[in-house]
Amino acid sequence: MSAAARRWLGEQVATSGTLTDLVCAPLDRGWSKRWLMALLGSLALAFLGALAVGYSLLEGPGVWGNNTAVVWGFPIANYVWWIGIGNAGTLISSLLLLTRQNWRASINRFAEAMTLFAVAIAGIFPILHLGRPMYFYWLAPYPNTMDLWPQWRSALVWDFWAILCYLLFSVVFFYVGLLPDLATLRDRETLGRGWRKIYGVAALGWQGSAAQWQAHERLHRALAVIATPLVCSVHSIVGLDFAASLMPGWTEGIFPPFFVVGALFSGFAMVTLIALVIRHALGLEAIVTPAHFDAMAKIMLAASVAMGLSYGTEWFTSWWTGEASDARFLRFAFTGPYWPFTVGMILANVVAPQAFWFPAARRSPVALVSVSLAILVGMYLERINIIIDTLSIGYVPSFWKLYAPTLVDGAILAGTAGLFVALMLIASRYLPMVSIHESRRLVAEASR
Amino acid sequence: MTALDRREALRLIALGATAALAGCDAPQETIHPAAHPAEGETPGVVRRYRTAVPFCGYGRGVTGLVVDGRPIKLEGSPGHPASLGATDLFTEISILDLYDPQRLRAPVERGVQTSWELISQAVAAPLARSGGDGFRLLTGRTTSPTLLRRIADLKRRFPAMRHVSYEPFGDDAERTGATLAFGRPLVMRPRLAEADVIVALDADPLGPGPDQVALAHGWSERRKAAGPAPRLYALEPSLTQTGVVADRRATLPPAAIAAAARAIFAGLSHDAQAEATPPIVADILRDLRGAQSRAVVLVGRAQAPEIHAVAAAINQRLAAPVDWIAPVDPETAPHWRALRALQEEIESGHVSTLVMIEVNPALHAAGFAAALGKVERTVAVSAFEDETARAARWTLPLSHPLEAWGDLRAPDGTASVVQPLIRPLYDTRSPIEIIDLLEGRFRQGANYDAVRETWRKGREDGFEDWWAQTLTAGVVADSAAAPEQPAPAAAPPEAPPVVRTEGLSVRVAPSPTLWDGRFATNAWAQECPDPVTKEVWGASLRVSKADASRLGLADGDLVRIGDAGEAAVRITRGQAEGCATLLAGYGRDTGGPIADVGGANAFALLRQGGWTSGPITLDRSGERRTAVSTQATFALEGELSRLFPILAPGEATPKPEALATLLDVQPSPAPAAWGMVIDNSVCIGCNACVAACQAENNVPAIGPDEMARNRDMHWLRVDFYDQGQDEEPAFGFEPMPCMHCETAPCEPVCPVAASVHDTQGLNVQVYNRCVGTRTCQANCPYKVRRFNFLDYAEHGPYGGVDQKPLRAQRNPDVTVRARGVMEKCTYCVQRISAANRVSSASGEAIADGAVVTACQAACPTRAIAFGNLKDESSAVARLKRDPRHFALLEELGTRPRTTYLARVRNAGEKSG
Repeated sequence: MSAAARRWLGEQVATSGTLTDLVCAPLDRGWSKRWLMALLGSLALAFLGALAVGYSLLEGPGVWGNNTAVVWGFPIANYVWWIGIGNAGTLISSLLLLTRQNWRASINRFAEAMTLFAVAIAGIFPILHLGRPMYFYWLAPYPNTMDLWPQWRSALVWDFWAILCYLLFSVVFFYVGLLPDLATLRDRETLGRGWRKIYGVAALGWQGSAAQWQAHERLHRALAVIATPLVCSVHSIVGLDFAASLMPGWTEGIFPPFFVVGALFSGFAMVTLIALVIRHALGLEAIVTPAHFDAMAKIMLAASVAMGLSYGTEWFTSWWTGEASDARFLRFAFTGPYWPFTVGMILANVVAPQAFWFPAARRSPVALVSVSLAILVGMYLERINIIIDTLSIGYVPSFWKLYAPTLVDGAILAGTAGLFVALMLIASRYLPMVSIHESRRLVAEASR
Repeated sequence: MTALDRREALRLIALGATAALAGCDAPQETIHPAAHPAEGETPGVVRRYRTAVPFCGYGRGVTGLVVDGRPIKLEGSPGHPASLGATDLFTEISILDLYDPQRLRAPVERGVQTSWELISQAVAAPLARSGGDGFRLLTGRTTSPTLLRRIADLKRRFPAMRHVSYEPFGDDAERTGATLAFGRPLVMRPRLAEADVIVALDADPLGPGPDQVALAHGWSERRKAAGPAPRLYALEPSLTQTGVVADRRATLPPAAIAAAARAIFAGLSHDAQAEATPPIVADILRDLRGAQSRAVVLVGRAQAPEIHAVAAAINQRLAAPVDWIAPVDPETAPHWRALRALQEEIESGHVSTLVMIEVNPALHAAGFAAALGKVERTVAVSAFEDETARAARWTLPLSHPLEAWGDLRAPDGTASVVQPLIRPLYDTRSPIEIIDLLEGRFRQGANYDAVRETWRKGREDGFEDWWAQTLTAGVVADSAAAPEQPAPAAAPPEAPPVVRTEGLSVRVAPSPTLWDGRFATNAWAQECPDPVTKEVWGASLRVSKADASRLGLADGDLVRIGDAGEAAVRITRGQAEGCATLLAGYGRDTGGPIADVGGANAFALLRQGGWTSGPITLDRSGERRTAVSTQATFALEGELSRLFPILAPGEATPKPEALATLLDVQPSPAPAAWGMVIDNSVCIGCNACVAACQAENNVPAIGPDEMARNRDMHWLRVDFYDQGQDEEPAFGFEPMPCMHCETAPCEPVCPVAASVHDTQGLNVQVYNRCVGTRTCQANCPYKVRRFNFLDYAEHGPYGGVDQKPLRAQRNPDVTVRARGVMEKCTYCVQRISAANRVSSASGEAIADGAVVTACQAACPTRAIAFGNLKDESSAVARLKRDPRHFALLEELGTRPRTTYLARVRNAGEKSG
């Protein structure tokens, strides 16, 4: 047992005390110049995105590249992509918790933070993309004088609930997991009095009594049990936004599981990328070890094989149905004007991760960064392909139109990236980026 | 806080009321307050008035729909021979001209606003002094009896004055040809309803023109009639609407068509197998001989007068179903020759006063604008700023035809009294009032008195009754020109041998949407897709594939076309080698936001007369410009025959098996199941329905930039199909309104139930419930829904011009859609509701034909049938049982309520 646990920890983490010091060091240190520059840079990007969003709200959806045939474009792709990113955190915390994968303790905190921020960002888009965003609440069954309820057969209503549940759940799950650590920060003398008060209030009177630990443990596990199906449902429903339709390329039974795998895939790529940055920037080499990257790379590899299988299944069935519209969709994806996106998607999502068959690649930061970035780009291409391939060539050829995004579309996407990075940066200075109380268990096991 | 006392409260109320009043915009239009309706007038009720609007000088009967004093739409006038109850594109868009914010509103002298009094002093006074020496009046074709009478009065007063009239796209060649054949300029009026075989030689009878509605109606009547299937031959250098619907079509350069005409004549006269070049001539001869008096040969304006004389001889020999009438307008001099003579006169300095009413010679005749500098007093009378108005010293604003009394004659001579439906919105005058002005007088009501004076003559007894009857009927009874029996045509003269020109010549054709450019200020016209290329807000140079590869041109290459300017190249099917086609009406310089969309001015190519230029060099600019088009061109494999089936006569569409379904689709309990059947066989792609829908349903024009972003708002589009192979194209039109699917894919995907079925079984869009997810359009297999990406209703393509006047055109029964809302064809639900109200008040069921959609009302060929499918005897239910009936994408199980009758192509046997 101890040897197994030791794999996941560096030599210098010998006791709970050293672990706590190591994790809290960035909080103790306060702002660094590098951090401040990164924050300002990402905030500038976020501000650009905010301007683009403001402009969109002022002028209307016409400032985007969407047209009458390709009625959806970047905003929906952004939504699907970000919510996919938001998959990994909860999955790591819940699924790995339930399967007793202790190594998750080192990465679940920032993965959960990532989830929270990604889902929050994703949640903007279903509202922003509306023609009349001020009426988004009409998707909710609120009492009104017209006795109108939402139209329950629409996947968009299911989606509304799926996102809402997932976002609320992610907040609760994150906060519950954070409670003992907030208490640790409250008790930490190196932090300023003001901050300690704030942490103290946030810790909700956590004393670390056995009764509290027992209740906490039970709640955390119960939440994890809820989380796992939720992760699957939210992405299945995102898949149903497309699958519950009549259009060639969308009416695919495979979409719900395919979307879940895709989400997990991109989520792990993002976690890997963040882990690499955090490990280096916060000096957590001893806690986030090559063994972690090895494990995550294996998951990405497995997911990429599943992705390849899904693509293959989708294309094979399209061809095999013999339906003219499906065959045309397939032809268009590979020989139409968007073919580079299709090819790029295959290269990035299926071919590139095959590097992880080699153990050296699984532990090489360069390989990890390149493949993770490739997957993130590849998954964006997949989202945009799903939207524009189908909408560009519908059933009636007289109304085939191509899609091209505008600068505003690009600025909004860049802005979300800026916002995401800024939020992660802020979190990294004010919250412990590794779950202290769960890692302590690992330390205890290792020293046993 | 002290309690509000009575005085204070009243003060506040008064303050609020004043603030509210000050915040209102007083409309610039003359409006009738609903608070004091005229006697017998119910606010909000549509009143219908018969009148006529001019096009190329001829009248087209219309029924003006007037709500609360505002004309909001023009429909056909059943008794009028140029309407027969239907309209064409140019009639439909005319209502927009009335409210167009770019309209000239006051007289202007060199850009500075002036007054009618000052103009009268400056123009009329010198005329009176000089006795009209050097005074020329330039108008378009004039058929108005009153205006002609007043011009004659003017001539008597100024004997030295001359009246010149010209139409850019007139019938010079036809009339000169008739003169060659009969010794006098007769006009041929074919009765296409009686023609089994029609041979169109470089002619486009179903294309745009003052007689389009009547010709298309006659042609479609024959198509629909029982009996042997008729056949339409089209020999043309460029694809026209007639070519699209033709049964047999040959792409030939103009000279070869002339040769074909002579070959047909020779073949008929010698009764021998003529040398059949091109091969289609042998088939034409066979069919002409077979049909004899039920065949007619038509020749287009671009062919030489000699060929028209040949056609006259052919038609006489065949005893073809045609009437010959004396020209309706008395000015028989060929128009272009008259215009050129006037220009020479101006250049030689013999003209001191030139008054131009509703003409734009500065656009049509090269050098005319510069020549105007030699005229002391130039007056342009125009509704909009144009090239001539910019070059003239005075620009006088012209009233819209719906604003002034007048009269007009249809191409067959039938006269109509034009009654105004609204008082002039601005300080404008009608052509009759301009004549008054030139005589140095002006008074209110002059139009009315002048028109009545014209018609009172010989009808002094009971004139008031006659007047009321005539206005109600929309036409002057028995005023059509009597057909003449011309003597046998002289043997057609031999034409001078055609000089074969090497290289590319350019054929100039009238634009199906802008005509000669006169509708270029009209945003609906600019945004209306060309029937064949589907281009909007501009027109490319159409070039054959062979020429393009010879000249190394690709689609979208920007080329300079001689002196005409620059246009993009479009490689077009059905285009003759050696002959490119350029549409007129572009390359404008009016200073207005709508007309000046760039492009080439085709008229600049026509220095030598005729409609085909000499050899032209195309200079590539190196740039590329993608033409804005609502329909891209794709090659498809094997699916076309399902999307656009083409049948041989007597053939039926394959009937698919009923689809298995788990849905429990119950017939709706409503008394009506509204449905539509569109007959592809008689659709000529004229776009009258498209514009009618736009006018009826408050569909805004969105401008070239938004169109380029593929955000077309037309609720109804006319798809163009080409099902043929490389050698022989098989074209056709298929109008696409909403299908009103019974199991509509748009409905289950809408999260807020904005897309629903109503109790009448219509698929309706609830605008104020729509949040704009656009999921419905994503899931619509027909892609017939339209989204307001921007605030199109209030921010049209008018640049800085305040577009408030446009609001007055809007149909009060149709919601003006906000930004971010999805919309689509409603089957004109407001008209169905109106019928329902009448029905529930009277207790009688809605009769078949009581609800007529705007597109249906407009259609000149009656291709659209609409009605209650539950009524087995209704026209639409009958058509659903037609063997040619099919539903689009039926295999998807959407159960569309809009269905089609397949196009019939009677190609027959081909010899050779």
